[in-house]
Amino acid sequence: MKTHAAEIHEVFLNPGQFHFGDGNTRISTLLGSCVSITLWHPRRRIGGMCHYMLTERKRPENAALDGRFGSEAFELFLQHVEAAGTRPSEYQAKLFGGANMLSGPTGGKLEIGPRNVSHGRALLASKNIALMAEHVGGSGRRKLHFDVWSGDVWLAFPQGSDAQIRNAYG
Amino acid sequence: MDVQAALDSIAADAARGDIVFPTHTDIALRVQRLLDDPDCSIDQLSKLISAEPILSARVVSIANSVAYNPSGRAMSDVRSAVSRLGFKTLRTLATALVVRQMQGMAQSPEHRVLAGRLWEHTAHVAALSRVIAKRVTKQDPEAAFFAGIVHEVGGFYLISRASVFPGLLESNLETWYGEGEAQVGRSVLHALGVPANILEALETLWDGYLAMPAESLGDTLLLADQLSPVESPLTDLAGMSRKGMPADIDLLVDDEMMSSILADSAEEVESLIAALKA
Repeated sequence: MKTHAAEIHEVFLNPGQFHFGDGNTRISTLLGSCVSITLWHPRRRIGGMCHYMLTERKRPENAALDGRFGSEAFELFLQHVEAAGTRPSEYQAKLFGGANMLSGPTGGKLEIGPRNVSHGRALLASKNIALMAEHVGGSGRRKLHFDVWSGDVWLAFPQGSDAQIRNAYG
Repeated sequence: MDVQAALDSIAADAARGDIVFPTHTDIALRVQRLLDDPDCSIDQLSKLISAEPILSARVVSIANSVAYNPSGRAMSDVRSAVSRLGFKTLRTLATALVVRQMQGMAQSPEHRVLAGRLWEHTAHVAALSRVIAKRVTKQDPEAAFFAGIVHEVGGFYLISRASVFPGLLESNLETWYGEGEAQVGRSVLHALGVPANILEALETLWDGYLAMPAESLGDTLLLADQLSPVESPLTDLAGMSRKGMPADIDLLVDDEMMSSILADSAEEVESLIAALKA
């Protein structure tokens, strides 16, 4: 993984969080069945990452956008894209996660991961955002780093249930 | 059992460079040296390879595999096989023989079982690397095949030295995947005379970070390692095993998913694995 000489603003996203930043930012997260989407503007070198747990909900009236839900995390993206004076189609997207982490009462998979993945693809397609890379599925956790200065995303996929990680990260 | 002290000691031994390869790998090492000689001829090479029955059999069998012989025209002599494969692939096969025979350096039956399993994992990763290089990362398939063959030499060395540290392979080897694997791996690869581009790919593998999209030789190895249905037995000892669960990860490659690309290439992968394990 390459590093950056200048001072880096490091941001770690917990499930449901969202960050949009400039060219000195590295955004990191840890994923299970959740999905992260990175959006990057190649000319302006700005971009962001979300980390959603479920596809969508019935949003109560006047409730703030909640990044735990894919559709609302995507709305947060669109707000920042507009505030930066840019258009969604100028961004490049990468999509990660959606592992099968949970089993249902009968031992079957709950399909949360795959649903999160297809929902993310549909959201991106609805705004004509090019999907440049995907690393999805499987049964392990993913560590992600997104370098906003270059658009590079680095992914570590340690096998199995990494013993050091015991929190119920989504 | 002080696992860290044992791993440090093994890494220090490897770094001193006194790695002794099994005596019967001598011809394979001579084949490697001959390939370094710009005046090396196919005749000389064929003669030397013919003197080593395992290497001869492997060269003919790989030359007849679907990966190198899509038309299915079988051949049975070493000279024709050498011409078909080319020097790059021969270097890989000579190295494969050395790596495979490192299994024999294991001192106890239990450790030989581990080493056997590690070879099976190696064969899968090497075969997958070749296909992923060709179809996904657009790297040199022969370089990827070679990198796959040597990617666990540190592990073979660890197993071969384990009898000096009773209980080591029964302990939690979590720290092996910290610095140990890279330290020992670098030393053994140096002793094998592995080229710089392959070393660079292995550094990426040990670092563990895949670039997205996957592009380099190192990314090729990381993907092959993630997708291999046979895991290294050392991941189990480090508490990092998938425990038989399939990796079933998928990747977007241009406009296609990697799973469908690999399904197309399944026969090619199987043919290489079979030839390496034979």
